[in-house]
Amino acid sequence: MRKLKELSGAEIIWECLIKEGVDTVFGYPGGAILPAYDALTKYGNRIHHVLVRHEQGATHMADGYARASGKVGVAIATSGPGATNMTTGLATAMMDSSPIICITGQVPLSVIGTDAFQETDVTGIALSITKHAYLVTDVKELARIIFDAFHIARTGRPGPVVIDIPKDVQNDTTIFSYPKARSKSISLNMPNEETMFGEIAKAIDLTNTAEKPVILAGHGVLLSEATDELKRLAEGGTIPVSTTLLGIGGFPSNHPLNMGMMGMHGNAHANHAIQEADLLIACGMRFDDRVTGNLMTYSPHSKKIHIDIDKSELNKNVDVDAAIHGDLSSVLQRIIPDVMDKNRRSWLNQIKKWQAGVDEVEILNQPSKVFMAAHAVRAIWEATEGDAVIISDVGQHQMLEAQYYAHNEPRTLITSGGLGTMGFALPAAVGASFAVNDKEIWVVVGDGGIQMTLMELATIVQEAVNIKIAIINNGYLGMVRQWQELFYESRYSETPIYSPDYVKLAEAYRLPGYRVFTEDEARTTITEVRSSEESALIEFVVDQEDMVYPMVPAGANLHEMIRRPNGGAKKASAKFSEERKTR
Amino acid sequence: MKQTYFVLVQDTPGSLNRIVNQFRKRNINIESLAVGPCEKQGISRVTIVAKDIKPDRRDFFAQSLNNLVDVIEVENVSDKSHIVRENVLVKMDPPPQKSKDIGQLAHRHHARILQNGCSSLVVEAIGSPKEMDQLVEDLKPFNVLELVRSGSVAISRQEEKEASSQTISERSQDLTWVTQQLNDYLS
Repeated sequence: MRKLKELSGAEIIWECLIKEGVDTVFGYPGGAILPAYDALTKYGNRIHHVLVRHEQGATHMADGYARASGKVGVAIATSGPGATNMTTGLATAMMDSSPIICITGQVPLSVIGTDAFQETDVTGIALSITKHAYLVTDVKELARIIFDAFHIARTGRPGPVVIDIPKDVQNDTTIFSYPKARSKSISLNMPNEETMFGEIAKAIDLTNTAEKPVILAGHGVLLSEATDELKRLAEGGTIPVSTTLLGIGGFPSNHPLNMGMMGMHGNAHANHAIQEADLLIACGMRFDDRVTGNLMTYSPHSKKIHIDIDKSELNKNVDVDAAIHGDLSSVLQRIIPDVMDKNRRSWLNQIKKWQAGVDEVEILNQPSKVFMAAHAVRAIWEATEGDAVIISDVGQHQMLEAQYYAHNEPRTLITSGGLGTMGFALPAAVGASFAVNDKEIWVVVGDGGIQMTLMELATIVQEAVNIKIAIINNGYLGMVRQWQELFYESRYSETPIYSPDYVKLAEAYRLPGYRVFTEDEARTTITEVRSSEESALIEFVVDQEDMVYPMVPAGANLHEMIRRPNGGAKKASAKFSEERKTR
Repeated sequence: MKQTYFVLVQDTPGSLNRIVNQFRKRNINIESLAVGPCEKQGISRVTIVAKDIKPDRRDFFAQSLNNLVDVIEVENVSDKSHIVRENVLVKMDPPPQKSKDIGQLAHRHHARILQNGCSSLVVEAIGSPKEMDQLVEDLKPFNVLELVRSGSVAISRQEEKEASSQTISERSQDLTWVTQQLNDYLS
């Protein structure tokens, strides 16, 4: 009999990743993870390692990869600062249910708890920002833990899992065998098919008796791959659909039943429809405060059906009439056959009336020659024919992207919704670029967000990936400035922000860089960069004080939106813009 | 109203931390916490009592606990018929003239008196949290040096009548024992 070969913990890490089908990891080496990086030299032909410039970037890349591919993303870092730098990315993935695995090195077992060099209590820090966190104390358990970690990350409501591996565990050896089934000790609060019947029957009843139903489609539509089912439900029952920010792409934008995004910066007619509805069918969304506004007055006349894979979301923010704990796709498959096609013409007509003269087209229709962020987004949309994968950052441009770039397919918009992590877009796009090969990748980012993670430009160049970066520069932390204008009497406390010369910055990283001031320039430049397979950066110098409308102020009633005032954009504040043009 | 949760959890490092964190991160103070092995090997039973959980958040807490990977089972037993018991130890140095009162008091509360050297004595009692609150209150005049409460443990019961009769018989045994202890101490 052949003697089984012993492998080191470090080798087992890579063996397990290969068994899980991982082909790309994002990481940064360091003292406590040295054994794993040493072993990587043997596995480099099977796993591609992307060297990031900051561990936060590694987590966002893993996240971007996961969201673009539907697979688990993997990030690696060393102990101490390497691990603490990952926390923002973990929290981002946690809030948006993104399946990522973060492997961190740890000081040797013998010195854990002694404040050793680069020691930090990773599993303790990870407590509130991960689905689960492991500290591996025995190399014999390593393979099982990695197997379980992947299972936990992708099963049920996906989320981030940390595996903290002490240096000596990486050096220890054992016979490697990869488990075939998860540990019995894992309990994931999975749905019980049998208890679902009653609630499903109720849901069917409610749907068939509703006159004014609305489907609320969230991130769960994408995660559960329920886009077809959603379409069949909407079309089968003639039910209009509104999406959350993360639900965008789960239902085609060009579908006549799509009312677009709901909530704080959602379409006015979608919010009106929700408020007037007699039935809400919430599919994989969680009634976040950004989509409900004031809960006391939220959709007051409606019955509510809520389908979610996470039982703790049911009846959390909104009391519902049918609470279905289940996988969206399979639940919808059970509901759809019994949903009757009802004539809901008067309801659809009512929504059309609300839609007439909607604000979102206002900017585009304005005779003003001022170049606005919305024009930049629209120009990208036109050039890419709505078929690019857009990774947006956080702020005004994020909302404008959601309003002015029409997505028709799932996983074509990647953005930090729940946590609202500025600096997410650039690294997330790097991750997405390793998962997407049939679509263009565009980053839409503000001048604030880009400056949080722009060190990853070097990663982009080193990896020779093709990412077009659109910096929407208004010289302000725009969304905060908007709140200051509306709610703090225009006291712009620390929101004007200085930027480097982005064209020169691009050149410094050996990337082509462009600066545009008008819509026409924007169009030509977008066409130019699209003709190249190389990454490029375009700075769109836009109107400084434009705002995102409509807006439901935090805590206000959902139907009470601040609308774009007549007369359009204000004159840009002269001082700042003059300075920028002469630069 | 106080909420009592039963949690069955894997007996591994950090699992209790995760449970407690569900309360801490929502700024809920845990009033009482008891953890120990249960009838299943490798699994701990946790009894948590917390107040100030809004009525519409009570099930949410149970579900959030259930979402933890190493939590096997969660039950909110607040509204159910169950036996809740707490153990209290009180170390006192009562003035000599009050020693007799302590004896009566202990008797009334079905408490035991344990000797603790010559200058102090320890009263031990087991009962419902409410009873223990009363005992602690009643002992205040006797120069309490130290007070320890174990935290509530609870167990569900099938039929109320059966269970309560059991308690009474337990206590009648206790009573003889208390008297004996008291006599030992006083002699």
